[in-house]
Amino acid sequence: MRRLLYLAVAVGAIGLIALEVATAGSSSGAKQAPALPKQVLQGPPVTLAKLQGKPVLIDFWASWCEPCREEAPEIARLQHSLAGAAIVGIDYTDQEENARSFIHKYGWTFPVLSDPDGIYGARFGFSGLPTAVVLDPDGGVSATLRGPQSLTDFRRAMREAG
Amino acid sequence: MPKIPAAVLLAILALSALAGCGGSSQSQATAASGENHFSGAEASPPQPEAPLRLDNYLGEPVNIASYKGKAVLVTFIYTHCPDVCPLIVSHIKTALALLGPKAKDVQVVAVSTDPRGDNRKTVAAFLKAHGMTGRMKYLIGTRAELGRVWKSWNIVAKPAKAGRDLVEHSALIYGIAADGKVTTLYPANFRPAQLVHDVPLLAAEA
Repeated sequence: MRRLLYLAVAVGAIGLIALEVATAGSSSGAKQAPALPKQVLQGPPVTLAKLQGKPVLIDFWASWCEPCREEAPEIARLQHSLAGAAIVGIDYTDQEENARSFIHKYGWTFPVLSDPDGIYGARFGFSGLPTAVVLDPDGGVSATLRGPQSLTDFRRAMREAG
Repeated sequence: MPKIPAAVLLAILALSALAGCGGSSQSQATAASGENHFSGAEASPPQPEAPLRLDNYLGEPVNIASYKGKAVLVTFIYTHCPDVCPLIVSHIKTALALLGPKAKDVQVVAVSTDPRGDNRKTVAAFLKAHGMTGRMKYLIGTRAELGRVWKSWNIVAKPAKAGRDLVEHSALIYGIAADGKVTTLYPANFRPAQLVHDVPLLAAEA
């Protein structure tokens, strides 16, 4: 196990030292976002095609995620100050009743989709929650925001997206 | 791989364990060498697994040695952990879903890092909440029983200074090959795709 100990050192050190760099790109050359889940927790149903033409915040969260609870009120504030933009929540590997309670508690009124097995989240490739992916009006990934964000952070990212 | 004193490792792992759901500023740690064919960090050479014999939350005895012939993922978590533990379990659940029929080739084992808070009732609720009932062997025990396992698997688990019944603990996943050797290691912020890639390889290492 001693060699494994050293291996674990390296993994832990890499994890702490290196910083994840948010994905950035212009609307002209940005990578297109993977498809959204079809299962709807809170309507109306949405697809990427329907969302094109405006900046979109896709927020991955779960009711069991404590940092998501920290961020949820900021998203609730954001939904009331959107102009020409949209929010879509994606509930990651969660129990439906817990997710519905969470949505109700924070007064979210935007569409929320369900990803019970995490398959759609895996396609986005994130490693932690909450993770917010900001799309430009062409559906390209403009930024990936990892960890709980403030209203200011969200507004800035959406403004930069277009 | 650099050789760093064990004390440094323990500090790093303890510190990284309570980061927000594995997100924030942590990076994805992957195997550094282009020669590795695993997506996770690879032990070179693979090491025999340490003994792991405990009861699961239903009181059934579990011996990791009995899983030879399958890949085994071993992680160390606790049920009321607010951040990394539920994320680890959710990512494992996602990996099992993505593996499809190949998921039968892997056994997932979780060892409690909280002998006080993890019991039959709390573990059952945790597994239900994460859709892992019957899909993960969640092992519990007394502090002495668990402490012996933590030590032999190089795991730190201790009450957090922040209180709230939190536990600071090493948050990682060991990948055990079908031959019973510890072959890969994943940080708490692994991606499910890493397990989807590695489980068939681990299962084939007979």
